[in-house]
Formats: sequence, structure tokens, C-alpha cells
Amino acid sequence: MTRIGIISFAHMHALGYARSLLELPQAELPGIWDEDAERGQKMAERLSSRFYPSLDDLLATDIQGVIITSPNADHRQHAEAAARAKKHILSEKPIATTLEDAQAMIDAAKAAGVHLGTAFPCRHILSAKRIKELVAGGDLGEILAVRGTNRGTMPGGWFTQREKSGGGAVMDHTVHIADLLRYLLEDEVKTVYAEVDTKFYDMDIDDCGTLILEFNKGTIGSHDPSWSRPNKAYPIWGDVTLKVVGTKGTVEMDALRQRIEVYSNEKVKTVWDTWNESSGLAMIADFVSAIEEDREPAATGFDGLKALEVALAAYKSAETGEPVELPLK
Amino acid sequence: MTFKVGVVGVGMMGGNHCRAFQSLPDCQVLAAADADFNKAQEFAQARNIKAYGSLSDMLAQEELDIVSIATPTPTHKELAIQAARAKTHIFLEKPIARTGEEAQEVLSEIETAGVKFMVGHVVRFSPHYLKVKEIIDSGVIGKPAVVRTSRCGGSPGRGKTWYGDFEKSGGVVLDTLVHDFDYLLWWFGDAARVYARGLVYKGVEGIDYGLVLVRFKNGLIAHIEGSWAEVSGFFTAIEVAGDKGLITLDSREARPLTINLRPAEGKTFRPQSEVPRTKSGSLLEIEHFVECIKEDREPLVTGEEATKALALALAALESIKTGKVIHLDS
Repeated sequence: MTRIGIISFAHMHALGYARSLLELPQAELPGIWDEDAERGQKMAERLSSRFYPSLDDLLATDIQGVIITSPNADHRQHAEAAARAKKHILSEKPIATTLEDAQAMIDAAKAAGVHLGTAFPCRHILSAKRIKELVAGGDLGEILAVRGTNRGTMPGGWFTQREKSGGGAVMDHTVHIADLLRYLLEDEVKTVYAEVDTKFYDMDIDDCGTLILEFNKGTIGSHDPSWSRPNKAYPIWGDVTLKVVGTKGTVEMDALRQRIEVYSNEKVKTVWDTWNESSGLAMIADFVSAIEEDREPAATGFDGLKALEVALAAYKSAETGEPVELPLK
Repeated sequence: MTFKVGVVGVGMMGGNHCRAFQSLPDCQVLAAADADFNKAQEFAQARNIKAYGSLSDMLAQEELDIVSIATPTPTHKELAIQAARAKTHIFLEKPIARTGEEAQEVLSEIETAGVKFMVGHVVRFSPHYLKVKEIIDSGVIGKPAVVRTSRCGGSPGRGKTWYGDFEKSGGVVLDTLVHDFDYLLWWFGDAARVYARGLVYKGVEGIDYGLVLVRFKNGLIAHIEGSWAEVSGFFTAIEVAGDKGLITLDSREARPLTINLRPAEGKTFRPQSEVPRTKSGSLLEIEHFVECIKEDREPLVTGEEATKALALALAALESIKTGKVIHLDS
């Protein structure tokens, strides 16, 4: 049995990860720590787990790994504490808010001899895995262009506080597609140009933007990470879409397209419910297996750093008005 | 009165123009010209009109009120100037010309001639785009902030015609996306800067693809996708996100009619979907043009606007070529 603790329920994904741990027969969730004790206690009750008022106390138990779902800027301190306690780590994305913090997390895990993964569930979307097969198998020929979106509603809370999140929509929603593209193309982003702005909400952090990318091997691409789905009206939280253009054909994914349209007088707005196999569950299962098999999770800390670098490059491009070359200095 | 019309260029668009003029009660198509005289003859015979091997021959022999031009882009300037000097009204397929200088020459000749002139930016007459504009203008989605458009299909002429010569056609970014540039400029005003990536200079045979990012002077961000890489049929999409709401439209989902006919022995089944309409885009734009002549009005698409759409396409191509951000100064 693999015993995993959860550090903080600040990120809304934490609840889904916790449920995945409970659902997996080979995993359990013996303990939770949260900087908000009231929230931590409530979650512990709801998930039949135990709340530890002190992170050190949770890390002193015999858990083998932790999932870090604290605000982005806190990932580093929590990862370093977990590494010191020799716990394997799955960090929520973005792995951190600076490259320096991301590298420190990678170094801490390496020094402690534990595995560090980044929570990139998109790699586990079955349609994305199918695209990976088509790309790797040469069915699409040479990959010429890619076009992604990961748009969403505006999450609010600490996501819009720069000191905690490190950035708005571009930080929140660039890394998933950046990672997916790196994974599919087995290539690194070479150039990033971006338009970034705050247009939907009256706040001091970006809520929209679009990136144009070029990869080392010449594949061109674009990505839209905007919080452009109207919070009250949109039928689902957002989207994950990807188009790949090759010399032998194209493939298009709309990951949440396996949807059922729900019309209810109780809700007024239309709701899209989905019935695809859960990529979040597959990702947690991969982390649990990685611990059991003593291997790296599907997406590593380095993958987290490289995806973060694309988001940071987008901000730099928007600031300078020029395309930005990677790796960032 | 009846307007006497001559068409130049007897390819697919020339056929569309001809059909549109022929269906108007106050227009009569008298002749067709094409640099390939055999094609002109074949086209003319099928329509019981006269054939010419060039516009100059046609103008020398016929008394025309309107010349409709649907020839390869680099020939637009010369043909439009010939027609202007013959004092005929001119309907010109988009883009207005291949270069900004050529477009300016055309405009100046048109002004001197005092004839009516319209470039076939047909999307302005498309009912779905007009509906999008109406919804934006109603204010229901608030102030538009992020726009995404797609115009995707296979390579025109499967890359074997002049379209496949990107120096001539400008590839998907000029030939196809000039439609999107035109209506976006019409809706949202001037562009401030553009950055683009595309395949146009990469020499991939029969395939082009472009991703164009435009920042408008009003702050709007627009992502414009153009593809000549699709294996499936042609489609378009548009999404406009504003600070109060969002509208989305994908032509692949706007198909009121699907026809499934049991295939003949030995044939493979092909589903067929249609959007039945009483008037084609070509008919709507040409009907408008003819009305403007009759009523002495300025057509909806002005020469200056067509030149701005061209300028944005050329800036996108320049960005693709140089990897630089191009700032538009107009």
C-alpha cells in the first residue's frame, strides 16, 4: 500500500487528487496538512483522513510521498521540507513561480534521493496519448505546426494575487499545453512571442493572452491561455484543445468533447458534463506506481521547469514587445 | 437600363462571378476573357457568350459597363487599370493586388476614371459573420477582448495551380486570411502590430499554414489561423470573447442538412452536408455592387479598406519572413 499525504488544499485540484487516492486500491491518504487549519480539518473529515496542524508532524509519519497543492509560490518551501523528510513529491503546476525555485526543488529532490513530478494530467488524456502514438509512429508525417488552447473561467482567490500565483492566466494556463507539446514533439520551445493583457476583469494581473511559438526542429505553434470563458454563463470550466498539422495529415483534439449537455430549470444555464476517463486519476495512479517502482513520474520536475520557462518567456515577450529566445538567461 | 458585363478569368471564381451577374435582371454578361483562349472559348460556349484571349481585346470589341476580374493576384493591377481606363465599373476578386504599391496604383487610376470599384471581400456579406457582428454590436458580450478565427481547407487547386506558387498567391496568409483581416479591420478598426509564423517560405509542397497574432489599436488581441493543410473539407470558425460574454461559431457544427445516400455498387459512401441558401456569397456581394452603381453609392468594401487588409496580410508575411514584430503605421 502506498501512503501519500496532501500538503494544502489551496488549489482546487487537491480535492480531485485526494479522491483519486481514495479510489486507487493500492493507495491511501493517511494525512493532510493545510496552512488553513479549518479547511484542513474539514477536508480530513470529508476524506476520512487525519489533519496534522504541523507540516513537520505530517512529514514525520511513514507516508512515502506527498502531493503539493499549495499556492504556486509556496511549492518550493513545501517541496524542500518534503525532500528533507525523504518523501517523493508530486507538485501542482506550475511547479513554481521562478526558474530559480523550480531548480531548487529539482536539486532538493535529487540530493534527498526522492522523485519529483509535476502535475500535468494532460499527458494522461487518452486522446493526447493517441496523438502521441500518431506522432511517434509517423502517421502524420513531419510535424509542421501545432495549435493549442487551454482557456478557462477566472479562478479568483490567490490565483489573482501575483505574490502567490506568480502570474495570471498566462502562468495558470500556459504550462499544460507547453508540457503537452514538449511531450508530443520531443522537442523544446526555441522562441516565444506573446500578447498579454487584462481585459475581462478589473484586476492587477493578466487575464488573457496568446502565444506564438517555434520549436528547435522548426515546428511552429500557438497557444491561448486566456481566462476568456464567462464565469457565470459558460457550461464547463474551460477547454483543452490541440491541433497538429503534419505533412501526411492533421489531428484535432477537443479533450472535453465527450460531453453531455444538461438543460435544467434548476441551473438555468446549460451545463456540459463529461464522461471521458479521468486524466487526473491516471496521473495520480502514475505517481503511486512511480513510488512503488522507484522511477520518475511521467512528468518530472525538469518538465515542470521547462513548461514554466515558456510562461515566463511569454511575460518577458509581452513586456519587451519582442520575441524571446529560450532557454531564458 | 441593362448593364453589359464582361468577365476576366474563367476559373472557379470567374464562374461564380459570371453566374451572379447572369442571375441579376439588370445585368447581361456579354463576354469572357482568359489568357488561356481555349478555356475562355469553352467557358463562353457553355454560356452562349463571346470569348476573348485578353481583356484588351474584349474592351476593344465590346461596349461594357462592368468588368469583373477573377484572375491570379499578380495580374490584378494591370487588368484593373485597363478596365478603369476604359471607364468601366470594376468588380475585382480579392486581394486587391499583390503589393501595396500595386494597390495604390489601382486606387489612383480608379479615382481618375471616376468608376465604381469593389474588391470581393465576400465574407462581409456572409450571413453568419453579419450575425456575429450584430451580436457584438448589441453589447451582449461587452467589449470584445480576445478574438480567434480559423479559415481552413485543402490547398486550392491541390497546389498544382498558380496558388501553389506562393510568390504569386502569397500563400494562405495573403490569399485566404485577407478575408479575415478585412472583416476584423472593418469591425474593430486599425491594427497596431502583427507577429506571425507560417510555412509559406519553408517550401512544403502543396501545404501552407499560418498563425497570425494581431494587436489592434483599440487593444483587442486577435489570433488568426489559416490552413491549406486540411485533408477534410473547408471550414471556418470564429470566437469573440468580451468582458461580459463569449460567442463561438464553427461552420462544421452549423450544418442543418446531412444527406446520406446509399452508394452505388462498388462506390464508397460519402456523407454530404449542406447549408441551403437562396443567395450565394458571390451573388450577395455582386448584387450590392450593382445596386451601388445604380444608386451612385460607395460600395461597402472601399478600395482603401481592401488596401488595408492587403497591408495587414503583407505585414504578416513580412513577420514570417523576418521573425520580427511588424508595427503598422497607418
